[in-house]
Amino acid sequence: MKSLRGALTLWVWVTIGAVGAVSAVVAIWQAQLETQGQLDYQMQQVAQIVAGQTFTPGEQAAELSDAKIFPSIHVHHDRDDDLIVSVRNPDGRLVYASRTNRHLPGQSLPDFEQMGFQTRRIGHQSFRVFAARSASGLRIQVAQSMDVIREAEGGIAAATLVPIGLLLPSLALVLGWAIRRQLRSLGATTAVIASRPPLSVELLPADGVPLEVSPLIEEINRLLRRLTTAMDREKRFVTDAAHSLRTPLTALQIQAEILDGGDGPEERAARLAQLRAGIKRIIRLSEQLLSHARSQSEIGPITVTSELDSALAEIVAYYASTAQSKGVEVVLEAQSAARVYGNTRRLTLIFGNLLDNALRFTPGGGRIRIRSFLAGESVRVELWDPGCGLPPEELERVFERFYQASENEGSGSGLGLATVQALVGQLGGEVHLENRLDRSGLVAIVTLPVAGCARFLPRP
Amino acid sequence: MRLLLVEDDRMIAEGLVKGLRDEAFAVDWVRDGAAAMAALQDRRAGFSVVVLDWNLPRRDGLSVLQAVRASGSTLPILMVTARDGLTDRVKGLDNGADDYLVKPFELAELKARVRNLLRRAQGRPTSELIHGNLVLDTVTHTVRRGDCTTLLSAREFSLLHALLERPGAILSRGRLEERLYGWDESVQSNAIEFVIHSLRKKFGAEVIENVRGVGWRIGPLT
Repeated sequence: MKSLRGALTLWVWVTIGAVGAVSAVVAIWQAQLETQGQLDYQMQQVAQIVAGQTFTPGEQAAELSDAKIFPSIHVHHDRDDDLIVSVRNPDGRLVYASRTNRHLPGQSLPDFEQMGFQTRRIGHQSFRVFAARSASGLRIQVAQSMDVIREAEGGIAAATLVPIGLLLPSLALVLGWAIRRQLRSLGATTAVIASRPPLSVELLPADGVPLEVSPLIEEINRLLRRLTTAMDREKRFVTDAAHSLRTPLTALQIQAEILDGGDGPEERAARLAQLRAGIKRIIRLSEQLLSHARSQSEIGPITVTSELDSALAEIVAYYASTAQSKGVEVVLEAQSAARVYGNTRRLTLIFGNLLDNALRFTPGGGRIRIRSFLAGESVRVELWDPGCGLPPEELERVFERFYQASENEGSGSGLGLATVQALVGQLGGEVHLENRLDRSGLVAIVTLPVAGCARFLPRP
Repeated sequence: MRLLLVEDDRMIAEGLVKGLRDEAFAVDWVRDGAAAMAALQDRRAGFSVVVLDWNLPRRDGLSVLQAVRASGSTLPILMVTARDGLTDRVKGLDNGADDYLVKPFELAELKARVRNLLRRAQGRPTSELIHGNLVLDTVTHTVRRGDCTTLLSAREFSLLHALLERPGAILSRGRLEERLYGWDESVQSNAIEFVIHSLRKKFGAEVIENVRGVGWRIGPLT
């Protein structure tokens, strides 16, 4: 798991480290630049002063005391750091050389042709050299050991780097502490959530929460609200389901109680048959409840496809015996030749429920017509029954869960059409009921999108 | 005893009709609120008690109840419903239901409550109807006369019950037929005489007096 505090602290430390490194580089570079400039200036000055001197040609440079010429010029207190000076007359004879220097023991500066500033190696050491020609033709060379220069640079750089080196770690510590402290307010929110009862869907308090966290809290609250809606729906379904069981259970209870009454074996047999019908009704209701509950669960996209016409044929075959016993004829005109989404089980539930309804409202001798055909990008299935239709105001209401059509006499579960609607909706289709124009029955119309390019399949 | 059953669920209704007929009620069944109103407005029907479902097509039970009470009727009404919430029960009772039974219920309880409603409507303290030395027990459908207890058939019970409700009152054949038979039951022309004959055989001819050309009444039993 990623720690916000760890990441923040790491970033702060990395940044501070980078800033420290960059400022160190800059400080050193600047110290170099500054020292170089200063020392160069110094060498130039010395050369200028030397140029103003007169040198007796016979005088041997090495013997001269510096103090005689430069009574007050010292670059550093350490005499070893002194500048090395040599003066030559126009014909190249050394007329002056500063006294022996630690960096150039026992020798004077060699004669360099090049004028101006330069860096030269003498022996194993590097020197910064300034060479100039005076008005009187003297060639003056002033040199300083690079070691001395570097030492001076080091001193200046240190003066800058030491405070940075001390400040940055403390800055890192302070920031680390501040981050920890600020993140503690998240801990308070965590505590609020942790102290809630397990099934609480109460919204989280949004006040007192840091600005950056409040979008998260808002999202969580939105989720909680959705959860509440889902839970309410679930609760209502359970209540409705329990309610819907009451009526058939009452019927069963009564039928069981009147079993031992009734005169004659015929009446008793009739009562027993009714009890059996009551049990059948309960079983059917429980099946309907189950498939309805399944239809309500969220599912991913449906990719499986089935051949619609053969599915319809199967369903019609399945209900053939029921239809026959009622004396109802079921005619199938399957002409879609299309594949639709959903497996056979789903299609059976959809059209089985619709056919079951149609059978229930069709009087003996009636004929139910089922047609399937292509209509553009979708396929249309119509179930025509010769029942008595529905009052217009009930055409939509019958899709509501547990709604019983007024003509139903309580034989339905009130779930069939709600289930059909949910199942069809999941396939991206839609279902509705229409009264036949001559009011001679009801038409259930289902439109389903054609799966993929199935509509180009050849007709069987 | 004529009972109007208002229930939209066919299975429940058929069970109740049979169960209540076993109990010697003449049961008329309607399956929606509008039909219930029509039946109740039919003066000749003379219902003694109504079993009324709440959820009904066309016109719900509560609305029927309110209409009946608004018309000034004190007809005993037993409300039967799947609504078990306290507010629903209170609403039902406050709107004039004499009793309230929640589904699923047992037939025995429904019968007991119906008997109770009738007993209270007739101002009787117990479930027995007493006239002279004859005691009719409305729970067991038996007649006690001295030490002798006799079980009655459904029709016998209904007829005797009708005569004992208001001793001395003369009931015509039509009136008795209404009390004994629902609309959909076929009544043979001599059915009432047949029941009276069997009652007289059990308890003696003096039990029921024939008022020629008018009807019958209970005899002055001592």
